[in-house]
Parts: sequence; C-alpha cells; structure tokens
Amino acid sequence: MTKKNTTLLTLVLVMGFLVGCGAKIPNVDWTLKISGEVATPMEFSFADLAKMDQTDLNDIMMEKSTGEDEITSWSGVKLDDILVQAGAADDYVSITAIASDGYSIEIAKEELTGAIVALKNSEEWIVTVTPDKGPIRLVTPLTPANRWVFGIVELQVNK
Amino acid sequence: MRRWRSILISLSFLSIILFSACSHANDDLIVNIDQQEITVTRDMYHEIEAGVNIADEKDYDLPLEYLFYQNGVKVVDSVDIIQDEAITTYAWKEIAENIYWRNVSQIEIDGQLYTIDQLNVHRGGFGFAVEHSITDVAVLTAEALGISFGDKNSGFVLSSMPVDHVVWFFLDGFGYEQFQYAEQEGILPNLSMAGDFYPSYSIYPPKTSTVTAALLSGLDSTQNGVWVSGIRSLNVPSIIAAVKDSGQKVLIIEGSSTPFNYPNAEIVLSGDRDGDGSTDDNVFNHAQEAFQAGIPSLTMVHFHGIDDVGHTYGPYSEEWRVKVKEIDQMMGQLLQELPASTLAVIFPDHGMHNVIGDSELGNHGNLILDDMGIYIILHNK
Repeated sequence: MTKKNTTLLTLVLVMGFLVGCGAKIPNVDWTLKISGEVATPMEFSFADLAKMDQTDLNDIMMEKSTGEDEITSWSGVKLDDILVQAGAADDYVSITAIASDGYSIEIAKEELTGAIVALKNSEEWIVTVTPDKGPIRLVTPLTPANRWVFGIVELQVNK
Repeated sequence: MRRWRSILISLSFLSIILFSACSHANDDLIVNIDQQEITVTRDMYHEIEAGVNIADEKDYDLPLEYLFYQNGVKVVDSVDIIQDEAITTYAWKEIAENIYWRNVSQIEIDGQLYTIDQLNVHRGGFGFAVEHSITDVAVLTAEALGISFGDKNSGFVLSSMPVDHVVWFFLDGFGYEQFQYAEQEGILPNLSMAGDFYPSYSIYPPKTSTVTAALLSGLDSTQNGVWVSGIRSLNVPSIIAAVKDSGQKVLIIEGSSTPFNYPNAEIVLSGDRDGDGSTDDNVFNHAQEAFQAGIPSLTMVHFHGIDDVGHTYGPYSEEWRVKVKEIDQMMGQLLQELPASTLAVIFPDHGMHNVIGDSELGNHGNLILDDMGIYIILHNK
C-alpha cells in the first residue's frame, strides 16, 4: 500500500468514526407510555423514539412563568405520529402529560398543534444538556412553557 | 532606627486592616424593623440572593421582601428610606411590586437606583393578634386523623376527634380581604356560615406553589426549602406521605395541572374538557363523584377559578364577583354532600391585589395584607 493510499484510508476511517459518533443514539433507559382512549396502549423506548422520523422546531419562543422568555430550538417526534401509531380516538379532547417527578397537566387538543416529543435541544441530546430533567420533553410551540413537560413518562389520551 | 521602622510597618499594617474594616462597614445596610436594628452585610445579601436566584440569572430582580420576611415580618405597612439624612416614607402597597434589592445597600424603585444608609420597616397586618398560619393545616389534619406528623401542635381545639376523613377545600387566590369584601357584599351565603373562621397568615412568597409546599410540609418557606416559585418537590416530610405511612390514602382533585408534585397521592385532573373556559365545574363534578364513591382519609379539592378571574379582571371586579358566587354555591352543595365523620378545612393559599397592567388586573406575591392575609375555616360533619 502506498503512502497516499494509507493516508486516504486513514482519512476515510476517521470521517466514518466521526459521522458514526455524531449520529450515535445515547444509551438511555426510558419509556414513554401511551394510554387512555387509544386502540392499542403502547410503550416507546428512547431508542424507538430516536429511530422515528424527526421534526425540527426552530427559533420558537419559550414563554416561561418565571425568568426571562427564551428563543429555543428543538427536534423530536411529532406527537401526531405517536398518537396515530397508538390509534388515538379522533375525537379526543385533551392529553394528560405525566412527568417522572409526578407533575401532571391536562392539555387541550387545540394547544397541541405542532407539538413534538423532543429528544434534542439546539441539536444536542436533551439527556446530555440537562441530564437531571430526563431525556425527552413535550414541546407545544403554541403554549406557554408550563405545558412543555420535561421527563415525560406517560401521555394519557382523554375524550 | 530599626525599632522605628518596625513601628511604622506595624502601624501601616494596622491602618490597612482598619481601613478595610471601615470600607466594608460602609457597604452594610442598617435595617430597623420596629425599633430593632439589623446590620445587613454583603454575606447576608449574597446568601439570600443565592437561595432565591436558583437559576443563577444575571441582573436577577431580587425582591427586598425576602430580607423582611426572613426577619419575621409578615406584612409591611410602610418603609422609611434614609439617604444622606433625608427620610422618604413609602406606603409598601404602593411600591411593593416595583422595588428590588440590587446590592447590599442599593435598591431600585420604579426603575430608579438608590444607594441608601438605612431602612426603617413598619409592620402591618390584621390589627389584632393572629396565631394561625397555612402551616397549621397539615398538623391539624394529622391530629384529626389521629396520626403522627411533626412535633408541633396545630393550636386548634376540635370538638370531635379523630374523624374518618379530612377534606381540604383549597380556594385559590380568595384571601382574607377578598372574603371580607364578599361577605359584606352578601355574595357568600354559604361560605360565611360554613364553620369556625380563623384569620391566618400565608407564607412568603404568597404564590400557589410555595404555599402548597408549606401546606403539605407544615413548615414555613424559610424551613422547607421551597423559597421560590419553580420548585415542585419537597425534600422534607409531607402530610401526604404521613397519611400513606399510616396505611391510608390521599386523593387530590386538581384543575388542569398540579401546581406542586403530590407523590403518594391519587391525582384526578379536571381540565376544561367542556371548553367553557373554567375548570371549576369539572373540579366540582369530580368532587361530587368522589364523595358518592367514597373518599379516602385525606382529600383535597382545589378550585382555581377565583384566582384565574382575579388575575384577568382584577379582584372585586364584576367578573370576579360572579365567580365568587359560583364557587360559594358549589361549596354550599359540597359541604352538604360530605360523608359523616368528616372535618372539612377551607382555606386559600393567598389573596390578591389590584394592579394596573396590559396583561392582567390582579396579582399576588407581596408582603401586604391583601396577599398574605388568609383564613382557615373548620366545618365538622
């Protein structure tokens, strides 16, 4: 093998390694349960969610109840995609989001327009940015941030 | 010569120490609370700021009220600000919303920064002795159910104890001043006759999450670690855990969300599924259903509507009066439907005051009687 080929091979390997690292899904033990008025109650692991189609919400206002509002960017799985997989009733009126720390909130269907279950914040995995807040977060871009439940473990569909 | 040199060096050293001590003292703030003088140092300022500014925000708006409350003041009537021997007196109610502690001896009032020498604080309050606080409710509940919780005594004398059930009716934002007004206006036919009425104090800051922490822990915000909104969990024992540890259950009937975390409790949310703009009718229905099905040892029913309408339209507005009448009617019905051997405890978390603003006409969170004055009503069935 010539010196040129060796250099090229090394470059390809390094690039492959870097690309592989960038796309690597963190090993996270987390389950999101979908329950209530659905045809099939389901459980999604973090890896399941990471493998689904991802949607970006760029530069959206995070209206906080305390402190300054922030412009933020998130990416994750469309809530609608998750609900379709679970067979949520078409005429559901709200969803109760339950967090791992016990916080729960009932959110009306209209407020869930454009919502995602976010896995990344500003292109970084949430689990690495804010590990104490759980790896996934509900982001509902049309509402104040008290509905952006972090560390969600269950979404109950209500009629 | 050598001796003189040593003396000179020693004197210089001493001067530096004295100068440093004096300059430090000049930074201090003298606070006089009802003739009792407190010297507030830089360390004290930073300790309070660190405890409150939990997100470590730059240019954090630190309310001066934290200093007052930590020194035992529950309601402020007025303050004298002394600057270069000039005294300016402010009614606290007029400036409480817009006064911040910028540094040890610097305060900002309505956007204007002042470096002050001394602050005289004049207490306000009910004008008569008040012995009860929201922190008594957890202890009272334990006493009524015959379980152990903390080492305090609630100070209430109950006619029948123990009882099978305690039901908390949590009337968000409907404080003492608002209750008195509504009673005088004749729009509280049920609540005004509901039981023994005890004027009480809330805790600072008078906001739902911090007061709920005090309600559940039986401890003041200076003791339970929930000193600011944004904290949702307790790190001290709660009455819910105590009830559960005694082999009994707790049911929480909430509006659309939990303002605080209730581990070990069954939670029923009552979002506005019928889209009528209020969660109160849904809370009411869930409470009725629970009473019919059989309630556990401790149940909490949290009505949010008076607070919501008060924020939007202002306390004492026509919309607010309509909401108060509605809640009074619901309460009248629920008190009748309580099962036997029940102690109902009716209380608000805080009151509310009028504000002038674009987004809302009512608010709470200050050391004024409108916000801090509450009551506890005991109704035995």
